[in-house]
Amino acid sequence: MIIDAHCHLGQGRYKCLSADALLKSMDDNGIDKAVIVPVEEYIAVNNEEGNAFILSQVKRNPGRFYGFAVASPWYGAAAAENLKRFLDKGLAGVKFNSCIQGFTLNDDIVYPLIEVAKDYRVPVFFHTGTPMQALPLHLRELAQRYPDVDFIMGHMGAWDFGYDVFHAAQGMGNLYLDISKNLAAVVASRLKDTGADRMIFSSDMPRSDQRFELDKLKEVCTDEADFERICCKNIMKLLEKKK
Amino acid sequence: MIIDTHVHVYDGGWPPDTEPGLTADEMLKTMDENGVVEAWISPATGLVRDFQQNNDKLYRFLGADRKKLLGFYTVNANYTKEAVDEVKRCAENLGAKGIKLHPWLQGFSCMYESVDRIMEACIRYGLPVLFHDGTPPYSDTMQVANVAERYPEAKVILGHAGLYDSFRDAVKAAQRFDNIYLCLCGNAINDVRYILSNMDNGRILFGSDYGTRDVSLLLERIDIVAYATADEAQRRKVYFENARNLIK
Repeated sequence: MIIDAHCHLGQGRYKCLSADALLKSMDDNGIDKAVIVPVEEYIAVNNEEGNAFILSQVKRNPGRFYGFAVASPWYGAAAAENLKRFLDKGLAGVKFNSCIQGFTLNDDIVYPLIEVAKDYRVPVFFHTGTPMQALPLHLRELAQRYPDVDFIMGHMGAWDFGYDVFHAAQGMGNLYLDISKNLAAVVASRLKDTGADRMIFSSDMPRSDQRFELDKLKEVCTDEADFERICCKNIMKLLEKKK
Repeated sequence: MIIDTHVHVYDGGWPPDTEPGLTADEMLKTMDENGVVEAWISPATGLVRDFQQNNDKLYRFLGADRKKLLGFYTVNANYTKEAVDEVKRCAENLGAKGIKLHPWLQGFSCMYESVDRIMEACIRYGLPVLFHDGTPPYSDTMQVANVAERYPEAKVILGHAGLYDSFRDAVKAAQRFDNIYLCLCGNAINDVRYILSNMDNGRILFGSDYGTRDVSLLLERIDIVAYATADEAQRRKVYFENARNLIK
């Protein structure tokens, strides 16, 4: 089974992807399931609307989608309530993009929302790779502070922070690396030094393409068991922990 | 047919302690195998060590086929007089087709007056300048674009078209200043679509950053453009025609 662990769904200013288009791409590429999150508008603001849309798509397409909820920490207690409400209704994780949400990834403003993820035992996906608000080492610090929460390092620092990733992930059993938008050669290096147990496949559709991203992984990961871990087992292990 | 406008020669000096990249003969072979008819090549080690010495090494590398391998030599703006003299030497003695500047790696600001002196020298010799861009604090796309604004006679190539975070800035800069060229080298597929849809398609180039022994870098970046547009005329412009018009 192949799971694409990060796709944006909806009609935004820059990212536009319908459920039908995503399902067709999944079918064309042998991808069974996808984790969906809203497009940027709903990550930055209008979180509630974004979460409702993602939940509706999960329910409309049973067995195909897992949905991650979004919340800007600037909404304070209302953000925590928003997350709880949608995790109760069936969403399976939390996604942050600290750059467009306007905070430094490990700023204490996000702690109350990480506490929610901890209580629900759901994974937390952070965009990384954009200075100065979303660095791999910011996520390491946050993951050290919350050892009981599973974090996914979106795009594992691509582009300029590839050098930091091995050191950011070292010794951190609760930190997983999303390989999207990285060069095959970089994925090969992380396979070697960090290992398949800690890596997760995603396409970041529609910014990249499922076939393109899958082909890159196939090129550097020829071990069947490793491929299965990266494409399915690792993300499933995180999704199945939910209370 | 592809002109790869962003290639390096890697000799193991930078990044430090790495395996040397392709020899010139090997590079020519992989170019042939993948439809690349011309490569614009700059030093890698020369960005962080002695630039004159590494320019000489590049000159010897290009000797394998000077029609297909074009020299984009580098100078360091922390050494004003030496840098300007080196532009002259590269143009007059080494057959330079362009100059490569990498401000964050080379440790200078685009706002240094020495950059002005280098740009003036490049204008005198008609050499386009390929900048690394998309990376703060010294190679932010808008910082590089400001060099182009200061020197409208210069041809300025944004070597990564803003990378992942600044591709919109790259497009804004190219819309405003017609001496800016964008090199698609490191953008995501949908970013390339955005770039193609929002600016003069005559100033978009293809680049790979290739030169290590791993050919996948070249292939991935060729694929990114192919995924982004199915329009054959648009692909031809990006892969070949625009670069040919820039350096005839």
